[in-house]
Amino acid sequence: MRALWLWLRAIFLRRRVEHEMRREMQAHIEFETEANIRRGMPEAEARRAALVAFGGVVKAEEAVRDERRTRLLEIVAGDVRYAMRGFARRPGFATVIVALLALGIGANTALFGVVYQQLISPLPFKDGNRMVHLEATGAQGTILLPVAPELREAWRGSSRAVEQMIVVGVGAFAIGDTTQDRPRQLYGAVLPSGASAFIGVHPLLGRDIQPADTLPTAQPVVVLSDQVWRRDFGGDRAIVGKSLLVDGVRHVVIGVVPPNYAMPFLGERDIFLARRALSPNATRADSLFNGSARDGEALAKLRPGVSVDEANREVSALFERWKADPRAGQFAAQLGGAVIDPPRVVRAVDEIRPERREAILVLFAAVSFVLLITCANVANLLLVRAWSRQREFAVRAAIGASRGRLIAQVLTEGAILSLAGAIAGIGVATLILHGIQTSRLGQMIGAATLRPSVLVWCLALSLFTTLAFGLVPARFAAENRMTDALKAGARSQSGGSSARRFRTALVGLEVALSVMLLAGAGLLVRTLVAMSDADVGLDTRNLVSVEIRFPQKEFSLDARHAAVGAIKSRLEAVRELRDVTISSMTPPRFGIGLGGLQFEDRPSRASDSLSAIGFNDVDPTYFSRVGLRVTNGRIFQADARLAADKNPTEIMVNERLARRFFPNGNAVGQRLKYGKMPWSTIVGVVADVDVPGLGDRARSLQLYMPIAAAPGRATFVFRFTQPVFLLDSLIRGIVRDVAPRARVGNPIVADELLSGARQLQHSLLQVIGAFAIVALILAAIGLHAVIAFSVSQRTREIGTRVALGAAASDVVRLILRQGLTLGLVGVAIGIAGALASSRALASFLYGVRPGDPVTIAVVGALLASVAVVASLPPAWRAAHIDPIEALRAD
Amino acid sequence: MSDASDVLQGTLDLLVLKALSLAALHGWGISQRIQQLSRDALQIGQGSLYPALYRLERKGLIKGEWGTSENKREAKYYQLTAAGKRALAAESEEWRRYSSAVDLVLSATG
Repeated sequence: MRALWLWLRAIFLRRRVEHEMRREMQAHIEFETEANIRRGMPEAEARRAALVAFGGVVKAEEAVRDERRTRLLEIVAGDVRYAMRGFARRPGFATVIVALLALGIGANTALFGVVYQQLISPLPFKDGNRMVHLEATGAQGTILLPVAPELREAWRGSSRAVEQMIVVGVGAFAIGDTTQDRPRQLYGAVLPSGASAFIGVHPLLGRDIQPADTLPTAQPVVVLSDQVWRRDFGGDRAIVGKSLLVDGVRHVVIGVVPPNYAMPFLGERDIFLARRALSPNATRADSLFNGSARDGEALAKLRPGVSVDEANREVSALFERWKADPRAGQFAAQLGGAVIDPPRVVRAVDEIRPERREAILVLFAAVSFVLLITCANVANLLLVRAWSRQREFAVRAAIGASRGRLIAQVLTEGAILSLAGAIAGIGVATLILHGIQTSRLGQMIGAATLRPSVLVWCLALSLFTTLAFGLVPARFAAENRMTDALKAGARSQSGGSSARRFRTALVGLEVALSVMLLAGAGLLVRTLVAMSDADVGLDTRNLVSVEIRFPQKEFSLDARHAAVGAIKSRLEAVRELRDVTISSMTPPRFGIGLGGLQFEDRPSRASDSLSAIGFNDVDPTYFSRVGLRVTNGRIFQADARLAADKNPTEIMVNERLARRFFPNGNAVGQRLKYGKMPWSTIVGVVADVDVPGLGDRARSLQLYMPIAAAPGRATFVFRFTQPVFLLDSLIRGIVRDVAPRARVGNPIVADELLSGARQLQHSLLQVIGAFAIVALILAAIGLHAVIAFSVSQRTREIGTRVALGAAASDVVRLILRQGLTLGLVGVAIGIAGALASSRALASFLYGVRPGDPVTIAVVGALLASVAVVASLPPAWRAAHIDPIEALRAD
Repeated sequence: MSDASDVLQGTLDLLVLKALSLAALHGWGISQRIQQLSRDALQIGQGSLYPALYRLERKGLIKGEWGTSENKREAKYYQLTAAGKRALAAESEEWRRYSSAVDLVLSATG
C-alpha cells in the first residue's frame, strides 16, 4: 500500500517530490558545512569540503530517482508529451491520420463483429454447440425430405448420443384479429412441452411457453415474433393477455420474443404455439404436429463429449434396420417413391448457409483491404513527416538520444495516433453496425453488436496499425545519418533512396489493392446487369399474384369451383387488371415434387428416379397471359376434374426436361409418370423459367399440369400497372362478396421476387463499391503525395533541365511518365491479385466469370488514368519551376 | 571516501535501521551516526544513502517527516516503524549468525 502510494506520489506529485529531495540533500550539505565550521574551517572552505564529502549531487539525485521506479513511465510520458506537442503544432496532419485510421479500423471492427457473431461465437441457444437435427435428403442432395417418424422415435428411444430431443411442428396458420375479420397467413412453430427449457431464450415481453401450457386442458396460447408484434399490433406493450384468433380458435398472447429471434434450424418464425397433448377440443396445431406427424422437425442435444460422427453411426445403423420394416416402403411411397438416403446428423453451428458465410468473408476481406490501404497511406504520411523531421532527429541523436530512444519516440507517436484512431473507429464501427442492422444487408449476413471480444479486436488492430505504419518511419528516423542531415543547407536530395523505394512500394500496394476492390465491384456490377437482363422465361412486367385458399372445412368441392370461377370473372371485370389467369404457384416460382420419373419408352433408371422436379398446376390460359412461350406441341385442355383423386392425363414440360430425356426432340406425344401421378402424355414443350440468383437446381426440370377445377388453393395471376397497395382492398372486397370465408394472401409482385433474388449481389456491391471508391481516393492521394514529393526533391534537377533548354511540355511529360509508371506497376500487381481474389466472389456472380477480362481491363485503365490525373498538379508545378530560383535555392 | 560498493546494499539497510533505532535522525545525522558507531571505519556515500532511505520508506520500515533541527534548520527526520523494528531485530540476528559463521571458517586452522 505504502509502496503504491509513494509510487503514485512520485508520478503525480513529481515536482513536489523532486523539490523535497533537493531540500533534503541541501539540508545535508548545510549540516556538513556547519559541522566543518565547528571544526574550525573558514566558511567557504567548509562549504567546499561539505560538497566534496557529499559527492555528486546530481548523481545522488539520479540514484534516488532510480529508486522511485518510475523511470520507464517518465520516459513514456515524456515521449507522449513530446508527441502531443508535435501534433498540436500540426493539428491537420494528426486529424487526417486519425480520420483515416478511424475509417480503416472502424470498418474492419464492424465486419469482424459480424464474422464473430455469425461464424465464430457460440449460438445464442442454451448448449447451442451440442444442438443437432436430423436431415434427410433425396435427389442427389438437392432437396430436403422429412425424416420418417419411426426412425426419429427409434433414435430418441435407443440413442446413447442424444441427451434430449424435441419435435417442433412447422406450418402456416391463419391469424385473425378479434376486432376485424381479416385472416392473415403467418408461419408458425408448434412447440412441445420442454421446448423453452431446451432452447432457452428469454422473451422480450411476457413469458415463454411453459410445460403447463401443453396440458390437454390448458388455454391455447401464442407467442409473437417481434416483427409481427410491431407490424400487426403496432408494438402495443399491452398485448400480453389479449386474445387472438389462430385458425379460428381463441389463443391468449402470452409473450413476444426478441427482435431477429431465429430458432435453431427453423429460422425466424412469426408465431409460436404450444402443442397441447391431444384433447377433445384439439386445435389444428395440437393434432397436426403430435409426435407421429411428418412435418415435425427433430431437434436434439447431443450428450457432452459425443461427436457428430458417433451420432451419425448410430443413425445409419438404425436406418439399415428401419429399411427392412414394411413401414419404410409406405413412407417412401408417401413421398412419391423417392429414394431415401440415410439421414445425416447436422450440428446447428454448421448450419449457417454457405452463401451467408461467403458473403461475410468477402466483405471482411474487402474491409481488410481498406485497412491495409489506410495503413499504407498513413505510413506514407508518416514517412514524409519523418523526412521533414530529419534534422530534429539528427539533433536529438547528436545530444545523446540513443537509437532505441528515437525508435521509441516514433513508435509512441504511432501508438497515440492508432489509439485515437481506434477510439474514433469504435464510433465508426457502431455506425456501420447500425447501418447493417437496419439495412437489407443485415437480413442477408446477419447483424452484430459491439461485444467485448470485438473491442479487443479493435485494440489489436490499433496495435497492428502502429507496427504496420510506425516501424518503418521509426527505422528511418533511427538510421538517419546525422552528419548528412546536419550538413549546412542539406536538402537531403540524395539521402533515403531506400525510403523512397519503400514509399513507392506502399503506393504500388495501394493501387494494387484498389484494383482488386474495384475489380470485385465491377464484377458485381456486371452480374447485376446480367441478372436484370436475363431472360426469366416469362414476361414479368407488372405481373402480380395473389394466393387465395379455400379451406376444406368451409368449402365443398362445388363451392370451391364456384368461388374460383366467380373470383376470376370478377377480377376480369376490373378494367385495371389485364391477363387474369390461375396457377397453383406464384410465378416465377415452382413447387417442388419428389419421386421417380418414369418414361414409357424406356425402363426406369435409378438416376432418373432421383430427380426432383419443379411443378406448377396452371390454367390453359396461363402460358399466353404470362408470356411463357410454347416451343413445341400444344397447350393442354382445361381440366374438368372436380375431385382431387382424378388425375390429369395431359401435361407439359420445359425444354430442359425435354432435351434431357428426349435429346432427339421427340418429347411431344411421349408418356411419363411422376411419383404417384398416373401415366400422362406430354402435349407441349415450353421455355425454361429460370430466376437468376436463385440457382435452384432442384427446380430446373419443370412440369405443368392443368389446375384442378376446384383447387383448395389458387393463385390468381394478372398484370396491374397501378401501385400494388391499391390491390389489397380491391381483392379483399371481391372475396368478401363472393367467398367471404376464403383466405387472401398478400399480393406478390413478380419483379420484386426477381430483384429480391438480386438483393445479395446488390448489397455486396453497395458495400464493396463504397470501399472501392474510398480505396481509389486514398490511392490517388498516395500517388499524388509521392509524385509531389519527388518533384520537390528533384527541383534542382528539373531546374537544370529547364536551364539546358527543356520545354515545359517535356517536364510535364517527365513527371507524368513517372506517375504513370508507378500506377502501372500497381495495376499489374493488382490485376494479378484480382485474378486470384475474384474467385472468392465466384458463387455470387452471374453471367460473368471471376477473371472477366473486360472488367479487369476497364479497372486497369481507370487506375492508370487516375495515376495520370494524380500526377498532373505536381507536373504542372514542375513545369513552372524557375530555373534560376531552383539552382540558387541551396 | 566510501561508495555504494564499499557497503553491501543489504548491510547498508541494516546499518540505517540500527542508526535509527536509537533516535529519529535526518540523513546527515544517519551518516554521522554510522560513522561514529563504526569508529570512522564506515563512511556512507550520499549516493547510496538517499536511495536506501527511499527504499526503506517504500518497504514501510522507516517513516520520514519534515522537522526542525536544534539550529532551526528544516530537515527530513526518519524514524523506525513497528515493521522496521521487527526487521531490525530479525536482520541483526541473521547478520550475527552469518558473521560468526564466516568467523568460524576464517579462524579454522589446518
